[in-house]
Amino acid sequence: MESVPSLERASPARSLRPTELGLVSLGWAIVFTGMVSLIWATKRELLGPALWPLLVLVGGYLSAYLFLVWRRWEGDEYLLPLVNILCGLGLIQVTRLSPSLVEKQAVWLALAFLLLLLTLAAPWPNLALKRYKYTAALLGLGLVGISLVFGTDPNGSGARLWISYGGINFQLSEVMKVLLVVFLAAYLDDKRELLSMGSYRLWRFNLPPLPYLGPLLAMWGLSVVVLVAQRDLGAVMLLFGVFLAMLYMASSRLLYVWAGVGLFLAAAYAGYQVFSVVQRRIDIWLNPWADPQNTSFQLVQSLVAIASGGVLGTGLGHGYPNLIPAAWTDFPFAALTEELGIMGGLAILCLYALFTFRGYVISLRAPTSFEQLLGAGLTTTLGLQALIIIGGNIRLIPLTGITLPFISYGGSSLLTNFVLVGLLLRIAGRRERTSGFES
Amino acid sequence: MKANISRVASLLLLLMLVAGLYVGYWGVIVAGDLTSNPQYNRFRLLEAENRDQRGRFLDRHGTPLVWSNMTASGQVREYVDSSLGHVVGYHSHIYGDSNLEESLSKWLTGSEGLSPQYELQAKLLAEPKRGADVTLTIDEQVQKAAEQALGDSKGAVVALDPRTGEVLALVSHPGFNPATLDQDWESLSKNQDAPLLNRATQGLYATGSTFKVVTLSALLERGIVTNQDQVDCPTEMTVEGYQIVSNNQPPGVTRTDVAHAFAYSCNTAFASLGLRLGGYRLEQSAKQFGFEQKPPFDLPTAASYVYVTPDFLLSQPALAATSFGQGELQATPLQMALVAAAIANQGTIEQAHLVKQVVSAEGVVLYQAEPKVWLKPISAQTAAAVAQDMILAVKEGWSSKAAIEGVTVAGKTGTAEIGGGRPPHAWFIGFAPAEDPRVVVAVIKENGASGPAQGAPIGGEVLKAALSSSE
Repeated sequence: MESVPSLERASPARSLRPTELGLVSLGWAIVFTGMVSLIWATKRELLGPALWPLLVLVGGYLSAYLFLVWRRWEGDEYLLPLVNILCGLGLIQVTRLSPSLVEKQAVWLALAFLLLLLTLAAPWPNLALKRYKYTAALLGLGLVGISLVFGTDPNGSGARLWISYGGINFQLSEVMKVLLVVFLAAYLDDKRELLSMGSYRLWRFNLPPLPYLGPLLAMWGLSVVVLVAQRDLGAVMLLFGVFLAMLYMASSRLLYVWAGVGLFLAAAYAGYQVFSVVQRRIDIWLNPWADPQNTSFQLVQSLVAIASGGVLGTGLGHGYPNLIPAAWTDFPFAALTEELGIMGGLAILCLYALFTFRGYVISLRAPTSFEQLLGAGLTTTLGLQALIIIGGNIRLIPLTGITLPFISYGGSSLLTNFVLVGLLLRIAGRRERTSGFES
Repeated sequence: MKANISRVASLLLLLMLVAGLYVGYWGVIVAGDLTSNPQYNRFRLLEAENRDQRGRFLDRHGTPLVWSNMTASGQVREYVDSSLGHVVGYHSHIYGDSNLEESLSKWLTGSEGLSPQYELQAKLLAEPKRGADVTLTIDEQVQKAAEQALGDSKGAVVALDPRTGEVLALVSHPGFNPATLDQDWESLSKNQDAPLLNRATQGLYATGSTFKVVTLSALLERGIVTNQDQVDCPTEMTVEGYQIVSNNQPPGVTRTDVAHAFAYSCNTAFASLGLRLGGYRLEQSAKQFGFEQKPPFDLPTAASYVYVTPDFLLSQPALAATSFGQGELQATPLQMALVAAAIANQGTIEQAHLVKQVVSAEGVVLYQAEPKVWLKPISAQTAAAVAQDMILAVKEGWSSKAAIEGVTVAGKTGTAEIGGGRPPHAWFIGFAPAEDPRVVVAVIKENGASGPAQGAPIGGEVLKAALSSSE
């Protein structure tokens, strides 16, 4: 039984995870109320098709819950309630903006819960992941290669973010982000000492031996390749941001961060010069008022949507979020903020902040440095992704094509984010076991 | 490493705080600028419009004139009569709103004037809100009669109740059909006849002899003459080399009393009377009747002028010509109707208005017009004396074609020379019944050649329609 330590629990008493259950019920109450009021306000005939996806949410959670209770899992009781309400908001916004997609989204959600269970039930210890770091790296590189060759642009957005197979479009950067974090956590954990001390001086700086910097520079190169392959600033910002954050967390060297930011800006500037997609998005960001009817129509409509919601919002079904083109994938935040108001928008931000906060707490409590790095990396990924797309919706940064975790319509995003949550829960669960028993 | 994780965590949470503040910036601080700018918000406003049912316009008896039908492709504004364009204005998704559709839009759309309970109920039941209904002072029968009486001619008709200032009919030709404005816009805006101009309230016309009502009022009010005074009425006279011809009076009459000089519209008599009155006093009187200011009204109005060139009335020929209605006089049909209203209403002009009442979908009265005195140009005695002369004009003078059987009608025609070889404009102003006036009318028929022949009959038709409708 040595091989499955993370799933064994020492305490004989079975916890029913009361905090989690209470919070999830609260979330369901909010989501159900929202969905019912939305259906009431818009198309009452949608009642059937829109309500069963909520049952997927309930059923999915309950199966995860039963699994956790059965395995006498202790640990974090906050992540799943947060994921629950975010997914519920996602179902609401898809129902609101593109009702024909909600059943598809529910199927994705069911698969995502299944993947969560598989992640939780995997009989290997977390540390086993460390052994497969190069596998993860190779898989990631393979995906980049695939997207270089087969990348498609089904939505006509100009960014080749997807691969298509059998009518299903899969967004590669979503999968890549988890692989990247796993690789980096393992690699940086091994090379931590070397990276943070430095073995020779270059001008005023102590630098580690070049061979160890190599993979890191390769990482930068990879980002550039992603930029070239997919022409999407959002994925690059996310991957590179997570990379820098993890490098800093492992090495304590701000120098790397500044050098990385410099390299990133250089690459972004080059991308601006070379790729019209990147250039257009940055121009729109800098001055959306120049051409509000055409090129910047989407962003301006997003801002007007937020503005017309006011503090309390128009109420679900009473606004006009459909005026933002493709709102269900690119602008769910603006669409929800119009109808739920600034209060709703801030609440969504708070949900992501709470998720991030809990994620970091889990990481800080993790028993091994690898798990600490892994947890912090995964948390940073999710938090940064939410920030990048929300920031794009509100013109804080250029708009990009990445998804709003759990809320945006899209299967690849949902599946990978549930794996991410599963990994975080595993890290949290392992702490309970070690602190309670092994030590 | 734990310290580093905490720092990254703090940074990320701080950035989320910044994002939150920025959401507040868009949603609160600049929200008004964004939502009020149609360049950014046009589609949203349009959708909002289509969702809620725009209120109706009703005539004074409650007959619907304009209403909105909800169709699958949005809301369609329906009009009982295409001549209403100049009354209510247009409501276009492309060209915006005009006139009452614009000025009353907050009530018509229901964006104001509905109780929180109603708003909440509409929201909860997901039902469209209904905008307020506007009751106009317009009488549909009178409006129709005025429309028909003017026919295809260019010109305008204003009919109002002198006791209250309520406008019963307001016609401007050529008009436009508000229902097909979007399709017609191109041709309407290019049309030389300016169909989008409301001639009744903003069309400036040479007044012709209708202005003699003002001159006569000024003379009687100041006691310079009385109706019984004899005045010379030669067929020709010369003022400082300016020749005035008068061929209106019955043949052979060269001296008559003031009343008949008015009834037969003797230009030479009024020229010499005007010279006795003086330019300053004539202008003062005209101002007291409302010239040289925009009459307050529910639609945009233009100010009428006694002259345009500075110090025009200091010249004797100019003063003589102005006194009998030529010179540089320019007046709107509305202004001339208000001049007649002063005579009809014992020297007092009630403020003209078009909107009687605005009632919300919940039955709450949002607006109620109250009669309000605008001007008091002359005494009741003077008004009565001028009225006598106007009755005479209809009875035996040049305004006889305005006569209605069994009703005493008072009136004054005008034939306004406009030069350039074009036929003069035909005018008529008048009221009925003369003993207790209930309706005043002003008619202008562009290039109608003759006030007595072309203006007076239209006036008579409209007066008749108004009297029969109000009984």
